[in-house]
Amino acid sequence: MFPSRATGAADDDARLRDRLVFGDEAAFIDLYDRFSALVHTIAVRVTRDGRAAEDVTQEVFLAIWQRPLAFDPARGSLRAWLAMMAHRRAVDLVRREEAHRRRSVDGQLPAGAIDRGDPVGDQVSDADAAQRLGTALQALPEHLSRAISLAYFEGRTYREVAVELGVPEGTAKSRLREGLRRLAAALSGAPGEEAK
Amino acid sequence: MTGTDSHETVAELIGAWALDACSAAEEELVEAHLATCPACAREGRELREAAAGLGGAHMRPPAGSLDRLRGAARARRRPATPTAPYAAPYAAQVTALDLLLSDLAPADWQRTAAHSELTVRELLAHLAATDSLVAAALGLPVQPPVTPGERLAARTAAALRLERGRTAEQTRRSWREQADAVCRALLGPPAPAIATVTLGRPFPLADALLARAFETWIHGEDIAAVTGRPTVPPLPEHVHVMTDFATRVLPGVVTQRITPPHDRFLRLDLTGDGGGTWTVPLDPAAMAPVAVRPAAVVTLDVVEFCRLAADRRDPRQITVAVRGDAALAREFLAAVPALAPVP
Repeated sequence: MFPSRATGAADDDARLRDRLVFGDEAAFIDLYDRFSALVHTIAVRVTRDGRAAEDVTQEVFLAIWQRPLAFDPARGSLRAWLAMMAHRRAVDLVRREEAHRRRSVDGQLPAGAIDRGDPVGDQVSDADAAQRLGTALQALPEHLSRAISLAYFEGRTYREVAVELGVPEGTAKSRLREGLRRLAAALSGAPGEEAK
Repeated sequence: MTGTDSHETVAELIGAWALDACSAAEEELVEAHLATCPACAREGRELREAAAGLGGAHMRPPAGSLDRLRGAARARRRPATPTAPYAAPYAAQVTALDLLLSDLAPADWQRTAAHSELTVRELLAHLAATDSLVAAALGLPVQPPVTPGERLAARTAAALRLERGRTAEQTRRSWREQADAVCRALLGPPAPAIATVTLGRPFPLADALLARAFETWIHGEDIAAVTGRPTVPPLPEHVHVMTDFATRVLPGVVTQRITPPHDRFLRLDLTGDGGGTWTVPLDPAAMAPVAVRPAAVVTLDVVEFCRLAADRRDPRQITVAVRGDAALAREFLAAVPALAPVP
C-alpha cells in the first residue's frame, strides 16, 4: 500500500471531486447518496414545488458532473458548495416566477407555473425532521431569524428584507450577517459572543 | 474605491451574500474581494457552512430520480469507459483530458502546446497516433492502417496528414472513440494473446497502457498550461502504478548516462499521495536485493518525480533531498528526464 495524506473532510471532498474529474460514475453515485437529500430539501423549501425542486436537484448534480473543477476545496466544503448551487438555482426560479407574476395584469399564473402557496405535504411527512430543521433558527432572537427566513426561504434580497421589516438596508444587512454568525458559532461549538 | 472602503463594503454584505440575497453586481464585488482577503474569505466560508444547514436534509428526491440523472449525466459528459484494472489509469486520464478539451475555445486548439512544437490539435492527433498502435495490436481497425515496424514519428506524421481536413471537434471525437474502443477491448475475456505492444520498443500490454496513461496525463498538463485551464494530478493509486512503471524502465535509460561502477543501487523515497519507496539498480540486468544498502537516497514529491521523468522539470531546480553519494544522486536526477521519449 502507499502512504496517504488524505485525512480530514477537506481531503475527502477533494478526492471525491477528483474522482468526478476522472469520470468515475461510482463517485457520482456516492456524491448523490451523500448530498441529494440536502440539495433536494433546499430546493423544495425554496420553490415549494416538488416538480420544480426535482429539476433544480437534477441540474445541481449535472452541473458538478459536467464541471467538477468549478468546485474548489480550498474555498469551502463540498456540502456548502452544493447547498449554494441548489439555493441559487431555486431562488433564481422563484424570482423569475415572481417577476412574471408581477408583470401579468390579472395576477393569474400560466399553467405549470410555480404556486408558492402549495405545500409539498407528503414529502414533509417526518414530523421530527420538520421540527429539527427549525431548531437552529428558533434559537435565534426573532428579529434575526425573521430576516434570515425571508432571505433564505422566501428568496428576498436584503433590500426587500429591509422594506418588509421596515428597517434601513444597513440594518437588514447586519441582521443577516449577525444571525448567520451566531449559527456558525453554534455549529463550531464555541459559545457565541451574544448567545447567552 | 480604496481597499479599505471595499473591505468595509464587502464585510457588511457578507451575510447577505452567504444567503444569496445580494444583487448580481454586489455578488461579484464580494467574490472578487473574497479571493484576495483571507479574513473575509474565512468569514464567507463559515457563513456559507451555516447557511447550508438552514434547510435541513430530510426530503429525498422522488424514486427514479437517480436513474434519470444518470442518463442525463451520461448524455452531457461521457464517464470513464469500463476497462481492465491495469487500464483504469488510462481510461481516467482520457476522461480528464476530454473534460479539459470540452472547455476549449476554437482559438485554444491552434495554440502551440507547452513543451512541444505541435498545436493543441496536433498534439491530440499525436496521442491518437500512438494510441492506435495499441488499438492495432488489439486487432481494432485503425486509420491509416499500421505498417509492421512503423516508427512513432512516421505514425504521427501520417496521423497529422489525415487530420488536416478535419475540425478540432472531429479530431477530439475520433481520439476519444479510439481510446474508448481500446478500453472496451481490454474488458472482455483475456482472448487477445498479445505479449507485447511496440511503442518505440516492445512493452507488455499492461505496461503499454500505463505508458499511454502517463503520456495522456503529461500532454493534458501541456495543453492546460497553454490554455490556462486547471488540471488535477492523477488519483494516488494511479500515480503509484505509473511511478512503478517508470522506475522499472528507468535503469535501462539512466545506465549509460551514469559514471560506473554500475553495481550500485539508488533509493527513491517518493512522498505525497501515491508515493512510496523504490530501489533502482543502475545496471538494468541487476535485480534489486531485498535488503540492499543504497549508494544514495533521493527524496522528492512523487508527482514532481513523474514530471521530471516526463522532462517537464529541470533536474537542477527540482526540490529534492539527498543522502549518501551526492554526486551520484545529481547524475541520476540529470538522467531521469531521458525517460521521456521512451514511450
